[in-house]
Amino acid sequence: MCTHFSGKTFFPVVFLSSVFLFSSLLSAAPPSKKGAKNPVKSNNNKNTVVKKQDRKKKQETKKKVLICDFCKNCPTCTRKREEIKERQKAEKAKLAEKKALEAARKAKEKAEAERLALLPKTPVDKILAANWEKNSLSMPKTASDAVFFRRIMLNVAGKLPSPKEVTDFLKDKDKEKRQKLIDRILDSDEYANMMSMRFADMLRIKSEFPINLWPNAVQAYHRKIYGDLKNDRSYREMVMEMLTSSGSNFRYPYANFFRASANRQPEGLAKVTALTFMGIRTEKMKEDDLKKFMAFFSRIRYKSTDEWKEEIVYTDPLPCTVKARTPNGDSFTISSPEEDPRNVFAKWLLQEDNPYFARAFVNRLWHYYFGKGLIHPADDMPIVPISKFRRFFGKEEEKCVNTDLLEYLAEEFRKSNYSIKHVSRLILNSRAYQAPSAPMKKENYEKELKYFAVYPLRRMEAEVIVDMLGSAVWMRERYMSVIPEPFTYIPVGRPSVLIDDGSITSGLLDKFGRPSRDSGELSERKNIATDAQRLYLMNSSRLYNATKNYGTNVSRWTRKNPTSGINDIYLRLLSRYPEKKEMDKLLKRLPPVKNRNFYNVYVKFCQDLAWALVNTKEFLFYH
Amino acid sequence: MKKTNSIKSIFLIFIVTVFLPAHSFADAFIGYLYPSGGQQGETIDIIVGGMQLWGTHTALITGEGCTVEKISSIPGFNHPYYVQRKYIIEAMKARKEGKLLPEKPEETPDWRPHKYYDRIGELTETEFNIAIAEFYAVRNSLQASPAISQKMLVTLKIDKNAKPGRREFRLATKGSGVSNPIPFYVGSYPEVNEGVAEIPPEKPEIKSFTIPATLNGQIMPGGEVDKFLFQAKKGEKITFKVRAREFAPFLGDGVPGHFQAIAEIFDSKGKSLTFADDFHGNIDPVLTFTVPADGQYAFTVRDSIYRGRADFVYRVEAFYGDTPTIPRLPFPALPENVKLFSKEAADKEEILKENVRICGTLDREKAIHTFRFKGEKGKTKVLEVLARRYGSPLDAVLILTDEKGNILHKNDDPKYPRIGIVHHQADPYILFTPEKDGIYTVKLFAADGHGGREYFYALRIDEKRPDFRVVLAPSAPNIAWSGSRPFLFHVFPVEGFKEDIVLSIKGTDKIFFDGTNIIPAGAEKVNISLACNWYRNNFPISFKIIARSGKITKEVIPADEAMQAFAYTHFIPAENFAVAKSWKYSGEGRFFWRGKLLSPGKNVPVYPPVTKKNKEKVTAKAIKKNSGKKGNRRSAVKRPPRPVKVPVKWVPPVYEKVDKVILKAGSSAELTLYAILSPHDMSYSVTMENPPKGVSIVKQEVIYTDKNYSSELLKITLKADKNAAKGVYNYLFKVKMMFDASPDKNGDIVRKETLVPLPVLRMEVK
Repeated sequence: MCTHFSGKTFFPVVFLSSVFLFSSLLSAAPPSKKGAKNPVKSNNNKNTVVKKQDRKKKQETKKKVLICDFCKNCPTCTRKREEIKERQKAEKAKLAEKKALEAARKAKEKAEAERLALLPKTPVDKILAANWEKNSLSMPKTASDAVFFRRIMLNVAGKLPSPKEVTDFLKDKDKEKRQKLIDRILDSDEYANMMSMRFADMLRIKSEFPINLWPNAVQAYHRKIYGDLKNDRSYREMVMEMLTSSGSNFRYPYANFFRASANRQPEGLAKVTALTFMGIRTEKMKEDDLKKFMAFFSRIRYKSTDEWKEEIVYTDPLPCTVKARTPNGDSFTISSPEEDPRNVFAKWLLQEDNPYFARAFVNRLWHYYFGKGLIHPADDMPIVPISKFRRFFGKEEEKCVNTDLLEYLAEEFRKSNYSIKHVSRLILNSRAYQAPSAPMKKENYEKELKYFAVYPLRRMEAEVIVDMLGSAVWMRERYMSVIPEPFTYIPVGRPSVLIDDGSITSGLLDKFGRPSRDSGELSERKNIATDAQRLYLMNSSRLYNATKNYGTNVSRWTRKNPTSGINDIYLRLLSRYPEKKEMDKLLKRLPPVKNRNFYNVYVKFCQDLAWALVNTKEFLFYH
Repeated sequence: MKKTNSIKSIFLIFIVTVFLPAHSFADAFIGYLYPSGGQQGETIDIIVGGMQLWGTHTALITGEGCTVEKISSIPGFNHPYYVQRKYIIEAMKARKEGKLLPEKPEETPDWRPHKYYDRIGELTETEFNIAIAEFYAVRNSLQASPAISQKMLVTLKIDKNAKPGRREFRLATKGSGVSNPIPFYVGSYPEVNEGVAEIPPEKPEIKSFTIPATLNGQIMPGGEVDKFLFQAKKGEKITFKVRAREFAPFLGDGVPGHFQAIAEIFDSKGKSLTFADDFHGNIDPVLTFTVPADGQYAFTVRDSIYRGRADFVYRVEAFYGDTPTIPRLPFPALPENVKLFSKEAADKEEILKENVRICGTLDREKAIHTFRFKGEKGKTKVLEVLARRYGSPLDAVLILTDEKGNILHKNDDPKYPRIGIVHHQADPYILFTPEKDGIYTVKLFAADGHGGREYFYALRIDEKRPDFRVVLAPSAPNIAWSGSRPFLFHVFPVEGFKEDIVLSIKGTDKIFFDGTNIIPAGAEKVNISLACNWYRNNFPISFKIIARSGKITKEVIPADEAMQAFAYTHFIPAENFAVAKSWKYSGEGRFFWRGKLLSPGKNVPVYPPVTKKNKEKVTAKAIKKNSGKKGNRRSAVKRPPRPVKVPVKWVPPVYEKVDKVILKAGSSAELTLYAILSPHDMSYSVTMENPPKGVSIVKQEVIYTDKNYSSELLKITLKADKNAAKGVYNYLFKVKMMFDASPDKNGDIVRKETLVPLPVLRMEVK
């Protein structure tokens, strides 16, 4: 405070102070409600009122701003703030509502899509759906891409997919990628390899006792079958040739069909023919029926030449009248050799309305893809005449779980000129094949399994497992045979599914149930898990070393990124990415990457992980 | 003479006592050649695998234009130990990279001297490749085949004008005679051999070739698949003709008993496009490939069941063009009274009355050709199909029926002798004597029902034409110097032939029959002894043996007996006989039949031929002889003649040839054997193995021993019982010779026994 005032400064100061005080008072005063409610009545004009209103609004806005900026406790501000909040809330609510509507719409679309997806599109699916509905089962969803990819690659191509193949398939956005994959696989060499193996089991391709085809005939026979399957030759033509071929076992491969039998008497030949092409067992035929049936094969003769183990199959040229009868009662009187009884039988078997041929094969094909046929066992179908057939199956379904499907597939088989690939395509594109292996309802599992509403879990074939171990962890088998001289050495890297000779085997294949090919029955192949297998997988030093080497290599490539290492191992062995909880659990076992001891631990980790996964059911089973 | 003889005896004793424990009757044998052919104008190195090839001094190749430049033996390859092994690896790598070879280290106690390993820098390219291959070869003692374990390297020059085609290749040795023949081809296309061995981990280079070319390779153990690359354009038609089984038609220790090759073609992505494993019933495949698109392709060869061995040799001709037709061998000449008909003409005839040969083709599946002919009671008819033996794939069956349709005969695969590499005797044969006059029907069809344009045949409906074939195996009947050996002649009479066959040698005077040269009528296997007046050289001799019986004159077929898969035996015909000196087995050349003395031996002076060197001496001798006679001054020399020693030659006595013995039932006959007694402690007796029934030796008596006890005459008395089996036999007497051999480990002298065959005699028991 200045104590010395002069007259010259006193009055200006007082004046200025009064002005300041006055203006302060004016700004503190609340806006007059009266003023707000009672607009100045002015005759002058509305404009003045409007102007005032505008001015007020501006002031208020300014005040608002000013207030909000400068006064937090101002009720006006608080109110405004509340309004703002409420507005924001409302907007949020709207947005949420909008989102909810959107979500609901999407959910609806998804549900619709799922509903549509569940709808049977193909005739096979429609038949399946009808059957499931009839048995109170709902339509199964499709298995995930990873599951489906692995399943089809192993089951149809016999090959473990590489990690790149898996990731490429999973990334593919094409809606029809599954159909295209099926087409690709059916055109591949691997499909022919796998189907040849199945045919070799069926046709008993084996060089040694008790079949005694001999190695040179085995390779010719297998080679011919492989070529025909690869080119999708009509199965009917193949069978016609097998049943009627004469000539050298080395030069005319299909002449080996009637050599590939432990018993070459007419009874034995009738048995193998019925089992292979009709799916019936002659042991269940009446004696008289069997005698008449085997008459078809009573004129087959064999003669040797001066070439070691060459044998010529031919029909006896001496005249003879043969009276034969088929299992369904059709009788024939045949004048041999003008008419070859084998020819007569083949024509009967391969005619369009034959009750056995097409059904037996499609049932067998179903067995290959599902582990059991629509009629189970697939090579033990009932011996009934056609007139009773449908009635029989219509009433009692414990023999055939889906008669309509069997009939449809058989009809498709005939219409496609007996194309194996065509029927395979139908089956592989079906909902049944693409169903998951986990049941929809646990309590219904048995039922779902019975009617193929769930994909059957089962252990893979021995050859497929051995090839998997070969490609996954580089544990390759070397096959050789001491039957020929010099010994046969199959080139390293040749898939086990391509081993043509049933006499060439290994301890590992036998352990996993490779069939002996003595009888050609489907039950010869033992696809069940045994203790010996488990013990082998757990304790084999060879397998252990292979997984160890594999794990070491993975750890070397991915030492800086353990996640990618784990992904690689899963992709290679299980053909899928690990789930999040699996990954989390695994990563928890590792120290930080920057840890000095990390690599040592990581190497062991990868080795153990590989070994552990090889010992899982997921690795060994079709699922 | 006596001194010479005693020196000779000592030398022979030495040979016998030193080499006796190791003696063997094995002749040289070759199992394979690699490569099995060469291009005109090229010089090639051929690896020959076999046994008993010590002392090989030349190779014999039939035809002209092939000259042997060098022959050397390839040593066996041992297992070198650490220091040596390390050196060999380093030296091989250095040579391969063109660097200086490392210094050879000091030899360690386990160092094994080796002809190749110790001279890596000096080896030829072929020798070096062999050394690498052998060094790194994985050996399997179970699979080792001694028959092909010994190897020789032959450098052969092929003249550019040498005629392309098949030849026969043999090796001639100093002591094991001439080997069996192996096919060898002279080709006109450039030759490409499979990639040579590389030093691991390098793999053999995959060779490329340009069509046309000839590819050579070997399928080795371990499931080997040989691969060759070639470029081709879309639409081209390329044929690959594989020869594999041809080089070793039958493997005695192979199962299957031959190399069954499979030819396959892959595209650049490794996809199989086509393959072949046979050709119209012939085991060697022919593959014709129409190129689908421009690019690179791979041609592969392997065994059908992934076997492999050194004698799995193949040769592939790759050329532009279509599949060749099946080679047809010409039918035999048509006899005079046989008419030739085509099938259509025969059908027109309806009933065939004469002897005919009908040529036709079963041109479709399940075709049946039927012919009717007239048969006369008692007149034998022959129905024979000529097809498979002449290249047709037809497996024919004949069924003969009478007018009523009754089946009289059916024939499918008759028992033909296994001569040649045809492995299925599929030409039926019926010998039929009608019981009454009438019209007979013969049906001809394929047993397996197959047919086509290539299923040609000739059907013979003819009278009996007795004929024969004589086969002598081996085609290299090696004989020791001054030795005589029995060889088994196989006789295959046809259609009732039953006459004596007289054999004679053509093409040389050095080989002759010792003992009988007549094959008795009805004999199927008969021994005949061959002997040789060897000179001191080793050069092989080629010759022929002619067989004559009545109006039929034929060559004896030279053949080699081969076993197939431990089971069957076959005769593989060769182009000619070839003989070289073989080593003598103990006892050989010591025993001879001795007939009547026709002229005694004597010493005669031998006047040497006049040459520049000895002119003086000879002329001097002449002067000396004629001195004193007038008018003989023409050949007089100025210097006085010096006495000349005139050499004297011993002309041996001439005895009557003994080639037969005649025995009458109930009586006896005598034979005289001349025996050279060396070593002196030798004892012997004549034995008869499986003699004709009722014939036996009753007495053996020494009737003369010379004063040095170096030779003696033995009289053998044979007797035939009253019930002795009458007939004519070529009988092989043997001498059981006992002698002292080298002491055993206890120091005791071992008494050894051997059977020495005598020249074969014709024994007539009347």
